[in-house]
Amino acid sequence: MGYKLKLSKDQEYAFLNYLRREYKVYIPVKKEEAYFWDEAKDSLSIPEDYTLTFYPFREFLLPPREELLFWKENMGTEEILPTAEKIIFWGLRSCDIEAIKRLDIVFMEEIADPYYLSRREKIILCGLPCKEECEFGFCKLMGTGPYPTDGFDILLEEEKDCWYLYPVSQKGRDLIKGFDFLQTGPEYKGPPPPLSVDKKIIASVEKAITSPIWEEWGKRCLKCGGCTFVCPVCYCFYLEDKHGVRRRGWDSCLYSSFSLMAQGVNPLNTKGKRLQHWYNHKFVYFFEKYGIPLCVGCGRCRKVCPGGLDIFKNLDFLIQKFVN
Amino acid sequence: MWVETVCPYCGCGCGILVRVVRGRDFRVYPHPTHPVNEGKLCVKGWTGYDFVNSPERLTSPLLKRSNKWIEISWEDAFSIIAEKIRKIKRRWGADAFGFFSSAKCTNEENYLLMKFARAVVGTNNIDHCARLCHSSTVAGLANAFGSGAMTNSIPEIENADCIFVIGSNTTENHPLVAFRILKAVEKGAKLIVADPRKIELVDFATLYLPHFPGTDVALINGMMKVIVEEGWLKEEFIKKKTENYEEFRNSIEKVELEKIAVITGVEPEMIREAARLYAKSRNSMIIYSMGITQHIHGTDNVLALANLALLTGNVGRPSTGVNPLRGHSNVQGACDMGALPNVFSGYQKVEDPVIREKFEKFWKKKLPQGKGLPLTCMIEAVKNKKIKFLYIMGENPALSDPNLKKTREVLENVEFMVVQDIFLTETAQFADLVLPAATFLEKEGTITGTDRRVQRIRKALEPVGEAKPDWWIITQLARWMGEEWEYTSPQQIMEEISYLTPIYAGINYPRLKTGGLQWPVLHSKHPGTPYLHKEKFSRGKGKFSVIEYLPPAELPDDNFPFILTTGRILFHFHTRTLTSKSYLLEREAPECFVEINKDDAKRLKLREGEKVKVSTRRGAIIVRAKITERIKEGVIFIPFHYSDAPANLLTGDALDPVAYIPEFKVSAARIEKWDTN
Repeated sequence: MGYKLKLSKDQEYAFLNYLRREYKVYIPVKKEEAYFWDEAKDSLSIPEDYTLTFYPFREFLLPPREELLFWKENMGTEEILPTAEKIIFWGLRSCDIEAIKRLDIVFMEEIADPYYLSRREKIILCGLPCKEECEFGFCKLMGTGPYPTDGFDILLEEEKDCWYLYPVSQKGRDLIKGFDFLQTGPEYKGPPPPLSVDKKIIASVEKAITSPIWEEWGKRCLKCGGCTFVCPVCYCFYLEDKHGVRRRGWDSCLYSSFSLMAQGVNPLNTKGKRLQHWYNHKFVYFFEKYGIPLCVGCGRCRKVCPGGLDIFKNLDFLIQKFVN
Repeated sequence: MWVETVCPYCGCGCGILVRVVRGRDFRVYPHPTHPVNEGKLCVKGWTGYDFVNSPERLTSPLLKRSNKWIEISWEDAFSIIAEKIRKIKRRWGADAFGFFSSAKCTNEENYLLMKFARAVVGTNNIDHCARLCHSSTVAGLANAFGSGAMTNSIPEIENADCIFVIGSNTTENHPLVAFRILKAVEKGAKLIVADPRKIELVDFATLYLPHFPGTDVALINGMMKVIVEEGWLKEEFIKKKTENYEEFRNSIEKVELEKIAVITGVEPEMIREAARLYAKSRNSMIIYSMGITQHIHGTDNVLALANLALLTGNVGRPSTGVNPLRGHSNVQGACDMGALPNVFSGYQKVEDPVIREKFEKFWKKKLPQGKGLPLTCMIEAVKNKKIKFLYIMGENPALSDPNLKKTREVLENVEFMVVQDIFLTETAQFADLVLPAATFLEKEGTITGTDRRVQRIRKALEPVGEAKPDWWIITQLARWMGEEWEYTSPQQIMEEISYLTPIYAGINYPRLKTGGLQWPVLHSKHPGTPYLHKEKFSRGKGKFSVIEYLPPAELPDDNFPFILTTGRILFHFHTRTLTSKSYLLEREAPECFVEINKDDAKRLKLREGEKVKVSTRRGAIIVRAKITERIKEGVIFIPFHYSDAPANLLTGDALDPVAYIPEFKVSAARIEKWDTN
């Protein structure tokens, strides 16, 4: 391993301007007592009480709505080519980085989605480790934190009067090599050993396949879709052709018509079945295929559910009932 | 750019944050700490904003010439309208005008249209869709308590010990109120749900009362009979704070529970249990909506609920009260602003000479003296050629009003009609001239949520094309009429409102932070009023009323054996003008349906999803059958959102004698197979 690089706070503004020559720099900014990604103004400092952004990072890779092509009658179609901005995200948490890894699998390995790809190539991810699990998060259980292991470009540590940076990728090294005011800092001891998901979770969701608990929980679903919109890894989208434009936008499997078939049959015709499907996709199907679950334990969905459904408590219930 | 504003759909008044990414591309996030939604939203709040950038938006004033729309300039539009107003006023007088204000527009805009009708044109014929939803609440609660609004606040719901929900499908129509109800139940509250349909909330209920539509008074009287009999009433409260109790008691003692059971279809034991739960809990809250108000005896229903709260002392404390849930984002505000035929802003009566003089002095105009016509009667007046000119701002009566065939004929035949809207709605199609308005994201202003919460909405985008904010349009029109209206911002209009309106006296823009202020706000240091009637009732004493059960205007018979009831569903809002533009909302609920009990369906040999013909004495529509166990036998339900199968072709226009609200909730109907061959 090598040495961390020290950026004194006196040089922070100069460093920010250096980064801005080519990139936009986004940091977590406090709005109405919660954090959202927004452009850095004159500082890279991140307040002590920052745990996680309210909204997931994925809106920068997969916008909630985007236009794919135009058409005109008898005139054919015109594809809208992806245009992406170069953005540095400063202060991503381990769970967010793990989420991007999962999206990469879906949109770069399974199929190469040009829109996703163009954005993904142009962003630089700077990870900021959490000291411990946050109030709503359960990353230890999911094997996704609190310390980021890989899948990002620069590791950050903020001290009172300086930052320590450690570039972990070539992209990261290229980014900062031209800035002359970085000093050598303490030794970088390498990432902690990778964690993995508690297999009890996978087993419990699998074993609950015929449990009546899903319908019981389903009663609490008010069909808002909020859990899937704040989920950093839910990636299902719809396609809409209207007014000469093809768009895609965020969808949710908690909506009934998501699984409605053309002849009118709906295999997921109750709220309980849809909730179970959401869990199954996250903890069973995705895990079977890629060896990791499609949930990073960030806990965002625990906060937005008007029905009070809590994925952490529910998983705990399933483990107690079906595994322990 | 980040903007803090309020969701444009229902009366919950949820806070949202809007981020403008670039150009007209924007994203909406739930407000993380707003006192109503606390970082949550419903499906419409999450996904219902496609209308803002819809290419179907109106972008220019339009004039109808030989049944074609031609684009005209604002100058031409104003000049034509002003000329028409002068001409019709000279020939027929000021009462030949009717104004429909809008529960989707801001307080400032409703105030201006109210002022325009009264001070510029000189008529009290102004009303809005509250006539069709909560006019019976405004009349009933004002009569009983002295204030026609929700007595308590949304955040208080979670601390109630008992919640009695009657005639409100809360999870679908006010999801963020349902969120509080679920929270209360989790904390141990008892929940009583009375509804002809086994709505989602029933899953959480301690007790479910499936009464027949239109039998609310009977049900509530039954509960009160039990309370009086068992002595579960609050004598101290009744003695100190109420009046007219003796007469009420005499009438309620005559009620016979066995008869009530027959009328309502609810077992006496269940009525007894409901009475016990409600009366014996410490803080009991009544929550109701259209199921109570949309009846020919809607005002009676509201008064009966007020009696129930008075009898048990459940008014004037946190987590108690009588709580109507208002439909539109600003239907409370449109009422507050006096877009009603009988009152100026703040419910100050037009017939009161002292009040009138105050407004005359400030507006420097002679004002009309008598009450104007309510919306439902304006339609009648157009039919009788008494009203020649209709000015409709952000309303869609061609889909929302009862007995549509008649309403549409009337709209077709009015001499001149102006519609101010963001889309060419079903109503705008009938207009002679259409003015393009700005959406909630394209203007400043305030709106008032169901719990009297006055909040700011803020501009994030420029209006499309030539579209303009409604307040600008009315101001310019007044200037074309020769008035010296100088408003340059909604803030300035609010200063005038707070000067003239005691309940808004302490409201000004700098004071309106996240969550706003709840009226009455009596002066600039007054903190607002989360719950009403604390020390004493607004009218002095709470008034008991003698209410007797009367049957609905139309009862089922051999020809029309079903009771048809109408309402909203989660994924659409009212006439679908906004929600139909949103892909997800439209996909979830793309077409009209009729809910019918499975035993009824079996008898009629109907299959799920099959097309059926539903008819009443007024018309017929073809819809798909949705066979379910959640609706009572003998009752059918149709949502009123869809223009291709408008439920309001079926509804009747019999009116409540006090509030003039139509009976949307009970019509006698027939349902039969519809063979396409």
